[in-house]
Amino acid sequence: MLLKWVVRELLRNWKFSLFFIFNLSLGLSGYVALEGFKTSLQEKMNQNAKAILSADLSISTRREFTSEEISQIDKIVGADTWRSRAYEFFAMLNTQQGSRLVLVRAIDENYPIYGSIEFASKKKVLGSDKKEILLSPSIWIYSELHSQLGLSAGDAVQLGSLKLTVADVVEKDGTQTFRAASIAPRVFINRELLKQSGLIQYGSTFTQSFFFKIADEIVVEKAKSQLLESFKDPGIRIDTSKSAGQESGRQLGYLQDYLGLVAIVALFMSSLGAAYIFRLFLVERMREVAILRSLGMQATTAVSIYVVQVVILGTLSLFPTLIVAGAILPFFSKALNVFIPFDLEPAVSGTAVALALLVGVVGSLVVCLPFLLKIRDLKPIKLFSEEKFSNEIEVSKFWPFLPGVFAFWVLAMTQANSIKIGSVFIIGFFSVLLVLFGSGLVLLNLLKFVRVFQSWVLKYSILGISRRKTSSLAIFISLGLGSLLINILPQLTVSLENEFKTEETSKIPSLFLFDIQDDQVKPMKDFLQLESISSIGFSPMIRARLLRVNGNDFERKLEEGQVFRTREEETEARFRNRGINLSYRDQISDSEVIVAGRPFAGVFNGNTQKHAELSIENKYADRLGIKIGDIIHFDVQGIEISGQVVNLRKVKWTSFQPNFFVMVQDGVLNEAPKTYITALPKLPEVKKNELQRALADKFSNVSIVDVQRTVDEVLKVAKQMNWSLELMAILALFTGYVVMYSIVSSQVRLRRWELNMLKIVGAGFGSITGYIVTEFLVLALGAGLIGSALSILVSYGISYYVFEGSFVWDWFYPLLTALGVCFLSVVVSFLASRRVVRESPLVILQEER
Amino acid sequence: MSLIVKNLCKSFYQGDDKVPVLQSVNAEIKNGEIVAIVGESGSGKSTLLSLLAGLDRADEGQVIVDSFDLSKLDERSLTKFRGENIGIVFQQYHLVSHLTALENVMLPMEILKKDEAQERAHSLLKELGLEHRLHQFPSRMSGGECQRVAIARALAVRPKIILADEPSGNLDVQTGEKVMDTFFNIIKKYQMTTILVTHSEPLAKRCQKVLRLFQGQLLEA
Repeated sequence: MLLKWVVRELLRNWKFSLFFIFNLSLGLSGYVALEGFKTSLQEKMNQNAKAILSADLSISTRREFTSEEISQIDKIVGADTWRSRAYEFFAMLNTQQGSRLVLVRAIDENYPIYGSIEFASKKKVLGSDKKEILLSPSIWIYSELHSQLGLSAGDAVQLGSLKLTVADVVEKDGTQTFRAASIAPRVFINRELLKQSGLIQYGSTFTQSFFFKIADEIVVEKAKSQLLESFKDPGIRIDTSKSAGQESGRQLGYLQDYLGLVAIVALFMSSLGAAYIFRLFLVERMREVAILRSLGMQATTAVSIYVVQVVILGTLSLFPTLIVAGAILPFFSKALNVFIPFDLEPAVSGTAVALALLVGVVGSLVVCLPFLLKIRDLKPIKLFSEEKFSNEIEVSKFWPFLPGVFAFWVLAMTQANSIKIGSVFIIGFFSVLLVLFGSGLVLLNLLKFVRVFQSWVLKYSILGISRRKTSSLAIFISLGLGSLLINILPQLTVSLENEFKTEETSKIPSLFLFDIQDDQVKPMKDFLQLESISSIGFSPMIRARLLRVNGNDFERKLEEGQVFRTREEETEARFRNRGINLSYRDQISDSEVIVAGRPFAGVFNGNTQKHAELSIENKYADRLGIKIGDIIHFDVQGIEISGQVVNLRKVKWTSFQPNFFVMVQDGVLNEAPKTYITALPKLPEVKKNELQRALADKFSNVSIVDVQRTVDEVLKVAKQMNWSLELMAILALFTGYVVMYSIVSSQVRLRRWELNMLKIVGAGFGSITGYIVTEFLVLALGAGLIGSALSILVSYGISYYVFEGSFVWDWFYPLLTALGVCFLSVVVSFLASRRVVRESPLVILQEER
Repeated sequence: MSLIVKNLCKSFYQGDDKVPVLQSVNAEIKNGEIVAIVGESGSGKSTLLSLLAGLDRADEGQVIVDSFDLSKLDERSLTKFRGENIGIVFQQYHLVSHLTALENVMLPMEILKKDEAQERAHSLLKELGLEHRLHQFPSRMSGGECQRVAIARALAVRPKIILADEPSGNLDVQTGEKVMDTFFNIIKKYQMTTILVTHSEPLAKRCQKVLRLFQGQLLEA
């Protein structure tokens, strides 16, 4: 009987059913599309894991392995195991057409152990194949160098002191993970040529890796745990194809996390819309429920009818969700494919479908819970009273909303892969709701005192807003939230673009030089003087390793666990595993500012000071949990030095000035082996290119970064990311507007009796429409302005804390948003009220039994 | 204001079946006359009243109020005409829930831009014995009080015609009598043409003329 009743009611109210499904599926589709994309990407990554790592097991470090370490590796992995050894580092490639920073991979005859490299000449090289670059002094170049410098097979190039011929152009590198990950195109050379190239010198930054072929997965895992056991140095990284596949997928992870959060916003908005529609549906059913109850139906049975209805509708919304998600997915792929080295044909996976079903059904139940509880609490005695049936939720009884809040919190954490980000997001989100609620309440209370209008339309619409608090607040919050969401992305984009633009016109350098040897500083200074160029200053850079903080060993963490559960764990492990560059200077640069503590007290004095003074970049300190006063021990080329943190610095990294995470007091590291970095001020394009070539020619081991090119690359990547974020924001926006339409039209529908009553007492059609439009316009104007203002605050917060950039206020988007929300509210309320006004008043009065 | 009903016909559909409710109804109600329409449930009393009020359209026939043929007026003109000339009292009161008693009564006057709306609403409510309930919302008032507010609202613009559909139908006998006493006093005072649909014989007897609706025809009782 129950199911029959449920189905009959849903079919008879097919408009409600369809609208509910439409609302819910809109929000779900973004979420499902993203899940589908993530799953497809991860599956593809796992499939290609061996090729990406180009081995079953790899061991790498950013220094030379010691002979003891190599013996240990041989002992664990087996001296006769099939292996390859490679170096990777940045260097300048000199050609007749110009110089370009490249990422050199110096390989041997067994590389790549897995995967292949495909060339423009249609050749394909596997690990077992003979390689042209190993037979003659030649080089393989990535296709970017062909397009940027016009290099082709047969052209002569210079790399350090090596004179090489381009053997072929790489079209597809199976060992590459993400294209946008590197700012320099890759080239391959023979490892045997490294020595004579002079490219790797003392202090040079490079990575050395061993790649092994071990067919048995169990042996791989065993070898990995033995290696982890043997090497306590967190700077030695051990990867298996399994972990490489998982981690490669994560490189797009942060973008996916944020896309996920936007998807949740869309989901929240659509749930809000669905809940609203459900509420309206229930208002119309309340009398029937009361009758059923008076006829003997139990409260639980009455609730069950509507629970089953919600479950059915939640399940049915899966179908349009899959259709919309399937339509969105290609756009996702298009937005993100520049980052992915292989063809990805994402499809909505079984996992995504299961998740959609879960979120659709559980989500619907959770958002409709407050209204379902109203059915449970409905007293049939109401049938005897003259009071109308309502389904308004008293704001003070907020607990039925808590499961919904909790569900969104869990979703946010899983989407962001971070308890912290997920929680901050939810706290931020609900704080915004609270602010909107508070400001809405203030607005409604202020409107109570507005009594100046002569026109009944204005007078009674203002009166209506302030008297119908619950519905007015719900509309106000929805519109405010919509305005806020619409506005955040454009605000952030403006700030981000401005950040680069400002620097470009003022202090951003043209070239950034690193790996300058101690003995090259003077000749380089002389050379620059001859060229009438003043460098920003030469900053020493000393490679070191963090040993202890306050006496606690700073050891490898979590590598054994393979998979990081949260982004925080991943970040912490990454930071711990990295070596660190120390520097010193007598005063802070223009691009940094001390945010806590005091400046250095002059030059280090070994007689009076036990520890050197340290200055730490504030975010770095935050990640590692370092505070002012902490004692830190470093290993500098085998010598242990200690320092005490005296200040925390905020660094403006986008200034592209030479800056460091850790600065040591002057007088401590002055004698340590070091390299230098420097930046050259803005130069005309021709001069810059000439200088770059001359520098690469004269100081072949020095790497030069073309800053403007890098900025362009960063902006290109940012734009590409923005594109995908915009795609999701458009979905959130569209959902927001649909929800707004749902709310406005359902509100008008709820009040159709009142509107017809006005008609009966003589109000004209225009006046009635004006009455409704005024109400929504006032609410939309208030919500639009407050939502837009809040979006400025939120964007400021994100700019400040996430991008560390200076915030630029842009009035255009907030104004546009506020006006847009007003316009849409006017249009929707106009259309909705017109429909009601056209109905015969008699029909509506007869409905009102 | 006189009211003439000529050959009024109205049918409803039940599925594919056409059910005639009013069949060539004719009547003439003179200016200031108080008329009761009685009849069994389902005889079409409320349908007739809604046609007289211009809330519904007849299939055939005319409703002429003074020289205005309501069937010839478009929706907008009809709304304007009704607002200025016809006051309706519903059995269910139909008050706007978020407006106070005073505001509910002021509303039609303000819609028609009548002067001194507040004073008139105040005085009407006082006349109906609701001086102490001016600022109460309908949800806080009894059925009798709500009906008195509804009567005050119908009388507010001093319409020429009052149409009342079972005005005491939702009230107990005692309250109903009290409310109707006041109602009759006022309509007599302002000489309003009144048509009252009722099941109550005693109420019908208080009217100057009683018409019975029987098998779709209006007959003098």
